[in-house]
Amino acid sequence: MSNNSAFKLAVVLLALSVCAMLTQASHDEQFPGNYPAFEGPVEVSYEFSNGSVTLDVPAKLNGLRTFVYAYDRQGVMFGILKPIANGRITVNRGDYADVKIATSGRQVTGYELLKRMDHYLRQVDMFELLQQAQDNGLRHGVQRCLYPMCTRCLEGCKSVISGGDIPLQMEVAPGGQIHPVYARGKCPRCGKCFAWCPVGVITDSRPGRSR
Amino acid sequence: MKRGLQLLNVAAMVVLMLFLGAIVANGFASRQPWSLVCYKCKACNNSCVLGIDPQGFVDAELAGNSQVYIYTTNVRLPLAQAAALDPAMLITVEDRHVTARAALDELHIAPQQEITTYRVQARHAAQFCLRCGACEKECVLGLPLLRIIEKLRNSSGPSLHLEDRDVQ
Repeated sequence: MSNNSAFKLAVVLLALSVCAMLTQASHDEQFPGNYPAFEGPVEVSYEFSNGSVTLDVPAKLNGLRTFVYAYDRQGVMFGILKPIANGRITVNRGDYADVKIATSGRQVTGYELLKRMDHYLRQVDMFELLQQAQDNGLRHGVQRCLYPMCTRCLEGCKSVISGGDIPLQMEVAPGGQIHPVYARGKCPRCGKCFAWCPVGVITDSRPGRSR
Repeated sequence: MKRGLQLLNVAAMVVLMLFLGAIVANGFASRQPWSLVCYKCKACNNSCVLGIDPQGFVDAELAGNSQVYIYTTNVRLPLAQAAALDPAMLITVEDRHVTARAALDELHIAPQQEITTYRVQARHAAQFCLRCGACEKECVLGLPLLRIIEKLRNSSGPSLHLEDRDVQ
């Protein structure tokens, strides 16, 4: 009789142990993805000379193309896509802006490409705009994110989240640059935003972890 | 007379059908038959911040030749890099379109001076492309332009980062 009770107790304990093990394993597998991480703003130093301005940028950006932006007195943002060579970007007088971006508070409300084929719809001299921004304390700098021309991260996010309430949003930072932000609680950790980001502004927060 | 015209009509139809058949066969031979439906509306071109004409990528893919020249009107790079990539690349210098070699040898422009491209080989344009997907988003037919660009990038060797090239 006592042997039978001990056997039953052992079976129950074994069953409980197996259940506990299975529950733990499935918990670990339930959320295999990683959260995105975002590159911070690019620190730039300016050197103005007669007819050109040289921007020194971090060496890690060497060889890339990035946006140099400046706001005018009306609060409209203008940007030019420039190559970085030897850790420097040079904007010369006569380098016209590629894009005009309208913002309202922290929101981007629209944009317009200013060059079509080989002619400019409107010529906005970026050197003069940068000088004006520097002299008058207007916002200017370097932005790596290509929004609003590029929306790949948002499209990736929309492809997994039904409805318009996606965790990833774009906003205008106090420094004037546009950058992505996300709501951690809503993020399903699918990884599409950092997998699809073509310029590396959004990265994997845990790159060493297998997904 | 009537019989002769009928024969001429039939012959013209046969030639026309052979021509159209060759176009379709070429599309399938290039493994991109969908590219035949591109009707060159240029909606993609107007959305590219680098001034690349993505229709050129479609043509390059259809022709099976990544060295066809396509419009790329807003890529800025040092003249030395342009000449090292392709001396025959067309660049814009003071509203003129000249080759990179001519800009160096005939116009005597400094090699480190920044120029703007005008027409470059499709493989180089694919390397310059930011892959932002604006062209694909604008395409009314939903052609997989990013897929072609990726294929051209992979077939054109190492990336064209500026530090990979000698800029003197």
